[in-house]
Amino acid sequence: MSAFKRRISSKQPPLPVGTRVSPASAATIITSTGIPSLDDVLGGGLPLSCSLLTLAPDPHSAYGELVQKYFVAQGLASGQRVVIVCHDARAFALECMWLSGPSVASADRDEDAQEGAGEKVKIAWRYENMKRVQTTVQSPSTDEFCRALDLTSRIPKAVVDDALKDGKLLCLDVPEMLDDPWKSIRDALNDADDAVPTRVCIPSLGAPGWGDLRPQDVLRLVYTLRAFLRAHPLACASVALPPHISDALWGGPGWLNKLAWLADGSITLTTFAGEPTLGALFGGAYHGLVRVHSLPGPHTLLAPSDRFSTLRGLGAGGVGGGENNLAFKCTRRRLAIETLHLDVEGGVGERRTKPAEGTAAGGARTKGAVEIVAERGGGGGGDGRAAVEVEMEGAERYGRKEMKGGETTEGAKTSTDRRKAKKSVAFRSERPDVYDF
Amino acid sequence: MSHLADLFRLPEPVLVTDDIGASADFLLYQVISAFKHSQARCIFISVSGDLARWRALCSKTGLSLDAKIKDGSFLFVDVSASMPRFATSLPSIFESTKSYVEASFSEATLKLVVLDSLSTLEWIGFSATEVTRFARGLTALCTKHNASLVFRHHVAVQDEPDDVFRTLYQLAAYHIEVRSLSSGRSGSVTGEIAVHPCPRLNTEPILNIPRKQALQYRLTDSGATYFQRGTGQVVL
Repeated sequence: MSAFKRRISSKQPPLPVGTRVSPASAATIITSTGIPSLDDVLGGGLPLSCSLLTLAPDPHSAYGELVQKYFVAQGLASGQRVVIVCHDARAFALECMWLSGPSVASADRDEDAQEGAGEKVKIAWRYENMKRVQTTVQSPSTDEFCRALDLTSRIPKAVVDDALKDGKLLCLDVPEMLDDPWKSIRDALNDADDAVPTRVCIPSLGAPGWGDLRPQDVLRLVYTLRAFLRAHPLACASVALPPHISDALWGGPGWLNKLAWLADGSITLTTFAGEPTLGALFGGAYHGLVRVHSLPGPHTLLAPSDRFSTLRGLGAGGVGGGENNLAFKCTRRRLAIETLHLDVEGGVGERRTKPAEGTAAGGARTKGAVEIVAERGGGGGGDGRAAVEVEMEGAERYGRKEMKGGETTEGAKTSTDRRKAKKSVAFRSERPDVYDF
Repeated sequence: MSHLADLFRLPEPVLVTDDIGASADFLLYQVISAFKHSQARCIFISVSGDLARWRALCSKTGLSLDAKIKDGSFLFVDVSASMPRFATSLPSIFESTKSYVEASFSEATLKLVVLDSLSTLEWIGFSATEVTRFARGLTALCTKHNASLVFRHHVAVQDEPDDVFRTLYQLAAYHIEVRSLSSGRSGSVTGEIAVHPCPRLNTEPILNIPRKQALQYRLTDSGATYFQRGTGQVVL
């Protein structure tokens, strides 16, 4: 055990409610998005004075809005000030999820236990004590930093009304003046002089209610929002773009990169709705892919996520490794980001124990190359006979067998029979690759 | 990497391009932190307006930006602060830069102007003509006062240069290209750097690193570690 102890000054001012110091820098104060796995991807949480952009290009789902609802619910649950900018913001707040009660939490545990019992399989003794593979991260339910929000619970109306009355929840309509769009928020924050963090939530920036926006208008809104946040070190923002604007082609070439440059953090949640084959490939284990464009690092060169994110796997534990692929899953109770893996059977549903159709030489094709050299006309093959040469990787080279009139001679046939096709277990995918075990 | 640092001391414009997977912030940080000298003067025109960030980064090398700003040897121009007066912001920024250069650069030994970044100006609504005119004005100003000039330009689409990039390429003497790895993000290699002499350069280039021999780097808390391809921590 190390003898060193971190010196903690007792004169340090207390942290604002619902925040903690970033592990990367003492100057960075982070707050939770409400989704523990998203906090992990961001390097512990969303830093104050930073913006997070969530893109969800699928028009048939609303995962972008769901992330915003988590953001609002987490802010209200931890006692922070929340500003929602959209049409009918109060209705949006009333649709948010809320904390799971004790009965729900116990039911959750029972459900997990039942699921665990159903999955009970006999495990070899040498593997039995090994740690189960974790594909996501979870926050303890008692953690004040990230509250355990449950999708089956709805925020009580009294909580929203009280927050509105106390000034903890501000519902603002979409700005009309695009020259200074955040004036109303600025005025609201200037009126409040307490040291409570403020969350600005924009569930659908650029939706039809915002008018007929051009790409440069959207970019300017994102840019000025970031500039606004820089001037308010206790504020942070989470923004979702509507599906049509989240499309990579909407704003011309490099649209997503431009957005990522102008926001502090930017992620895309791409569902499998547009790619049914992907959904089948992963056996329904995920609902879509997560793509990370940019990550906030307000006081460091290296984004904290690169060092501390477990899910991305670039930190100390993954020296030299590439970034993990990420996916998201929305269960009945929660939205979670996980590392992307193929399912148990390697991503295909069909299991077979016989050689693939069209495989020549009884499975030898999977082990080596079969080369047929036909010598017709001239030279030694002038009598219509063809020389067959079979070459296998790692095996001795077969001698030339004579073929006459397109049929193999007895010697060659015997050789083929002696080398009986090895039974192989393989999985077939949409692609022509064959993976042997 | 002394050669790379030398590029920023030349009285010639240097163009730095980067992409979203590999930001060139570490190069700008290296440029600013090298200007600790008492006779050095620097103007940092920041479109992203991250003074707090640069202050935190420079404090790690013992450079107090606040002290520099206070004694007038460092001027931080925040473009985003003038956003409501959108139409007139670039000419007014140029005028303030010009007045500072004329007042402070005459007696300085090290003179630097950093413009970060021109592509953002174009994305948020300035026309390419306005942006290139602004860049030309700064180039002329720095040439007149024998000052170093660094442009940072974000590349939105790889290998598809835009109009502003083409103009900057003609204005600059060197082009430092910071690229992310085509294989994706990695824990051991953050990106790679290539240095190209531009058509404006009449003399023999002091540094030329083609893309095929690009130098790789890994970001750390205090800066970047450079190494040749194939000599990284994982390879050896």
